[in-house]
Amino acid sequence: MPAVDDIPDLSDAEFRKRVRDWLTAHLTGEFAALVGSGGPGREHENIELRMRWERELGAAGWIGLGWPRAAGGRGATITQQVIFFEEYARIGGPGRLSHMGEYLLAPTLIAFGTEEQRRRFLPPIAAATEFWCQGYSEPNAGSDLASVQTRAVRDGDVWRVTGQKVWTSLAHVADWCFVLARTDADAPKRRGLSYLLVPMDQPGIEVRPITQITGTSEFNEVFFDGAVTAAENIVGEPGDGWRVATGTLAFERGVATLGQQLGFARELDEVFAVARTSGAYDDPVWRDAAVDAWVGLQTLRHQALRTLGTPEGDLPGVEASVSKLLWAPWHQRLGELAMSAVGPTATLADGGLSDAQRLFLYTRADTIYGGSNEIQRNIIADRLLGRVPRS
Amino acid sequence: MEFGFTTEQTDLRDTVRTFLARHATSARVRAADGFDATLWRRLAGELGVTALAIDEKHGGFGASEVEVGIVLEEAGRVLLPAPYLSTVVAAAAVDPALGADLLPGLADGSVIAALALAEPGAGWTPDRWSCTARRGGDGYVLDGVKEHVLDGAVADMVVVAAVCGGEPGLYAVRAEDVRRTPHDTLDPTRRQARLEFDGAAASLVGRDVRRAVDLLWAALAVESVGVARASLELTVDYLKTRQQFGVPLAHFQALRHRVADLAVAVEAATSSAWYALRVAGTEEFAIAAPLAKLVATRAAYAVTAESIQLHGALGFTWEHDAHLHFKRATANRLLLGDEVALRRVIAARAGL
Repeated sequence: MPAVDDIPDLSDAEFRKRVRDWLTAHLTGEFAALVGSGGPGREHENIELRMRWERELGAAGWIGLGWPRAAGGRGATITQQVIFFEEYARIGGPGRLSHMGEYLLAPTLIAFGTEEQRRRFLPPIAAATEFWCQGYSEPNAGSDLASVQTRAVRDGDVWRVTGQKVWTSLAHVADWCFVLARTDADAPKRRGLSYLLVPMDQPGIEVRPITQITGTSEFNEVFFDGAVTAAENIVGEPGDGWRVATGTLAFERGVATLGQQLGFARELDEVFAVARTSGAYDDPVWRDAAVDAWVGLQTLRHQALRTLGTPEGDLPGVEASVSKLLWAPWHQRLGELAMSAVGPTATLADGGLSDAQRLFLYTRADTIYGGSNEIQRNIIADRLLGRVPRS
Repeated sequence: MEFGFTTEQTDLRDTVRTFLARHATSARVRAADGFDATLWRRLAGELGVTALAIDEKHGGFGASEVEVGIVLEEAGRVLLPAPYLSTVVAAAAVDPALGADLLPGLADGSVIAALALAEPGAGWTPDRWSCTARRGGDGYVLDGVKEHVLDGAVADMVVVAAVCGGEPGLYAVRAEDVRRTPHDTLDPTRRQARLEFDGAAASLVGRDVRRAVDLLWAALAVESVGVARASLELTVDYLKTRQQFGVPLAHFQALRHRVADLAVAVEAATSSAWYALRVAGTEEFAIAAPLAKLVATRAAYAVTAESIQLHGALGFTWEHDAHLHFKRATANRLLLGDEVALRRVIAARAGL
């Protein structure tokens, strides 16, 4: 990182050039093999090399770009963060491994953590020397997240954690896990939870990969059997876990969204290219659906620009839910369109899955993970119609 | 990209909303038969909203499409029975270098204008419009027939798309030189007319017919956002108050999720409509305008149709406003190009 950080003073065009120049200069040599790798459905690829790439990014100060300077970040504007994602997507940068720490844990520590926690945990995230995973979902606590059963018991100067987490992305890579655990079995279910930071490399933790619909594996089950973490590794007070875990969601403005959409645009271009070869493109009915997909993608972009460009939106706090309900079904539909563009050979998998097949299969997850679309509808309905007591 | 509103713009929205809530009530809208002359005079005269986007040297306020969009969205909320959309779009289609003398009357609202584009049998396809202009008298003479002219029966002046020697252009014609046949319309809050020109005296006021169409698309889009928002609010209020099985309808998840989906459609429509207005001065407008028209009118249709369902049998009655929203949304969706036509335009312009 430059000694004197001038990022907030750069014009958007200057910043874009700096990002583009850096990526062009560094995504070369051994890292050239990473272009287009990782990401949805391909998260298992090139893990070692991608960890080194994260350190390359970290050493240049590209991780923690949007954190406030006081937290060791670079104070980049929202527009600059968007530009970074756009340039990263444009050059085909590999799927990120540090995003759990950078975008989920760090904002949580900045909002709810202690000064000591920020000093201890933020620099290794920014340097990509420590990776994180998220320990929220459980076999019996998916959409009903507040009913997590993983227990944490205070034992002298440590917490002892016992239970099972599931759908834990990148748990096999992570050094740490932020865990939502029940510390008070007698309290009402949302008030008995605590937010703990647990090291992964210990005898009390076992990680087992889950083979998913694509035949590959990026999610895991994580078993905690008396796993320990130091008493001070709790964010907020005991019983604050629900507030801490959900509090940062409201700050989510979707800076990654526009970059994600460049990936979508590339996928849509590819679908058009396949359709021209297969002949599907000459069918007016097929093309009608394809134009609708193109229109949908522009709308996603308009929605993201309006969300980012409006200080206070029309539905503050639920923009992320609106965005998810727009993009996830759109992406799923794109997977279906890709398969129909390929035609009958889309049913064959000689030599492994094609890009169209991977897109088609993986996008079934889009409407489930990160809060299923039904949960997103609940969130919006709560805002519009008021909450209804749920049993 | 700036999507927020300035304090002045927010004040404008508040002023217009307050005014319309008081004066464009459901009873007034229903009684107006598509045109409430008193409401129009006060809107133009007291609020001055017809002057917003017209340059100061022509009697306007020199604001932008954004300010006009704010008023259009508010007009959509109440299904304004006054020729605001028609007049401001016609004014925006006038090139000040050619038709500057028309602008002061359009700015102060003393002149109601309408934009005449579609033709019988030729529908919404500009290539097939055959209205012609030829040189004659002091200016031009116009022959042909236009259909579906919004507010065409109450306009004092019509801006007409016509071809002169192979060149498309926009021509202003005074209402008294036009034979006008008012239609009864599916949407009773905005009337249409058939206009016949038989050697009508005309003056050339613009050359960019495509931009005139784009402007009308964008205006219909943002107005539809207002229709959708009002309809959704009405529905939400109803679900919160109507009791069945001992609880408000708002308690039922089957209905809550449908409302959430409608809210998402309204958000997306708002984004695309306002995106179009923000890029109205750039080349992007050529795609953003038809896209906004497609997305926003589709959303307004979905919301207003679902509103009828969510109101139950009440939504099917004449007495409830749900059908008025539904009919305006339907008209906006079908006028000047439905989804099929718009997808064709978008595909052609985006090179898909």
